[in-house]
Amino acid sequence: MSFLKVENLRASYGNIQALKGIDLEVEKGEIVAIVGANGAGKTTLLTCISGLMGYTGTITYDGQVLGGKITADKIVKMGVVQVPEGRQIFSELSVLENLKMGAYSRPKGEDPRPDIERVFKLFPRLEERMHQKGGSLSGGEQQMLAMGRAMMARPRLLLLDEPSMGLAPVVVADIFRNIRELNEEGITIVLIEQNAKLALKTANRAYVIENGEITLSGPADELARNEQIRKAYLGG
Amino acid sequence: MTIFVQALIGGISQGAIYALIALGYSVIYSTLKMGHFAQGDFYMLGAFIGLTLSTKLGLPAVLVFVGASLLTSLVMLGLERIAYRPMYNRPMNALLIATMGMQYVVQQIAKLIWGSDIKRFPPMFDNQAIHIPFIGGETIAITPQNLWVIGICAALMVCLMLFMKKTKTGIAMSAVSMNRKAASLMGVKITTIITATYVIAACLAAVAGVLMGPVYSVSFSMGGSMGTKAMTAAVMGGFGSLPGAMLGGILLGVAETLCSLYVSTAYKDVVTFLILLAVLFWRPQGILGQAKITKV
Repeated sequence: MSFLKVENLRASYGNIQALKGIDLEVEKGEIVAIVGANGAGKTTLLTCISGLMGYTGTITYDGQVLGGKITADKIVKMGVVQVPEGRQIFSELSVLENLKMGAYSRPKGEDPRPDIERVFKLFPRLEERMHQKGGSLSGGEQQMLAMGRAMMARPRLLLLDEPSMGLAPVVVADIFRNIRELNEEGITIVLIEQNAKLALKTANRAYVIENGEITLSGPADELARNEQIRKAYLGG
Repeated sequence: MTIFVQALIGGISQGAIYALIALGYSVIYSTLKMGHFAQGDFYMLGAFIGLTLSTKLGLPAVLVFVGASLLTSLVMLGLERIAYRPMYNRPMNALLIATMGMQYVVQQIAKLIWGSDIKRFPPMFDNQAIHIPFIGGETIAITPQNLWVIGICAALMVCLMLFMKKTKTGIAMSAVSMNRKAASLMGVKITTIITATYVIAACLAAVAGVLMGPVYSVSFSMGGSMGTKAMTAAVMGGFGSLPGAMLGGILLGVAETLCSLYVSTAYKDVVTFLILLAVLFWRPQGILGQAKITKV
């Protein structure tokens, strides 16, 4: 039984079909990359998994079918946490308050401090900026904050949407090192990236999504050598 | 001088009422990004419910306030479910029209229950003025009504601020107002936040209604002008900003009273709207409002 199983997932925005029957599986402890061009349906896929959008088909996580009574807030409580595209941090809240918001789904009365310590250990920059407003951070720091905030919910399955977007190469390398560290701590990761080269280097397995359909899948290193993919996404 | 101070206190008391209703507008706007045109009519509804609880059931003042708040919240939540919720995923205009139509719905409900004539609301507090010694051997006369109004409004505002800053739901409300998508991804249940928002707005309006009922008497159409004034206060202070709504309310009340005193009662509305225009000319986002800066 896979940790996350998506079967025949279809979703649309009005008349536009964004997902036309997606099937994919993620095993516990993996990093699975989903690569594809802009508008291929990658973000829609994550939006469906997080329960923020209606769909047909089944999404099963840890043996439970999501959707219906299991709404977005319950999905977070179950450990499926998303770091959205464009970071989406609370710009008027301080770094610390952003992190505390991340712990919103944790049980009442639980002390968030050990988790905050853990986030600061992973992202020392955030500790230095603790009392600064989220909106005043640089792009890389905001990405760290968005990931730290997600950590506060104690994810078992972390969904990362374009973590490298708009960041300098040096910063991107840092962020991807953090992603591997999180994975080593036991968190299963679904990684959406336009930077296919980097994604395939980081992931165990990968899916290629085109126009709302999975066109290729397999071990990441195999896909990285695939002629078709090299042409379409890796610049020849 | 004593007259000025007396008028000032009267103005602050009137302004505190504007502030309560303006806070309702701002709370709803900041979390739901919607202007709630019917806010003034829930003030009217609160006044009528308070009147019934006070005269028909003879409840003590505390229970009149609590009961009016609870019942008004229930009506607000019920009507929200029927008329607003189906509009949330439609274009903004649909919701705007729904809240405008809601004014007539609430007014007609009140008319059906309480009739269309003006009802007298017996005073809840002692109306005998207290004389407080002032400089130069003069005294200022203040009615306990005014003091109660100021006290209760101030207490409610402090409670609201503490709620927004200290409680999990309050902080989540601010988070939703900043970034709704991110808040849902943190596990914030948006329906809970919507409910909390309407309950706060309804309670504030109901308390204002019960406080003002004895001053103005109660009628089904009393919400309209109050709603407009409070909306003015909210815009002046910065729409969506809670401290702004309080400041705008107090300023508006004081400006009105001072204008009645030194210019003429007939022109007080003209003067308040001139002040609004001047404020918006100087700061289009309102006194404490934040200018929207969009990062590209």
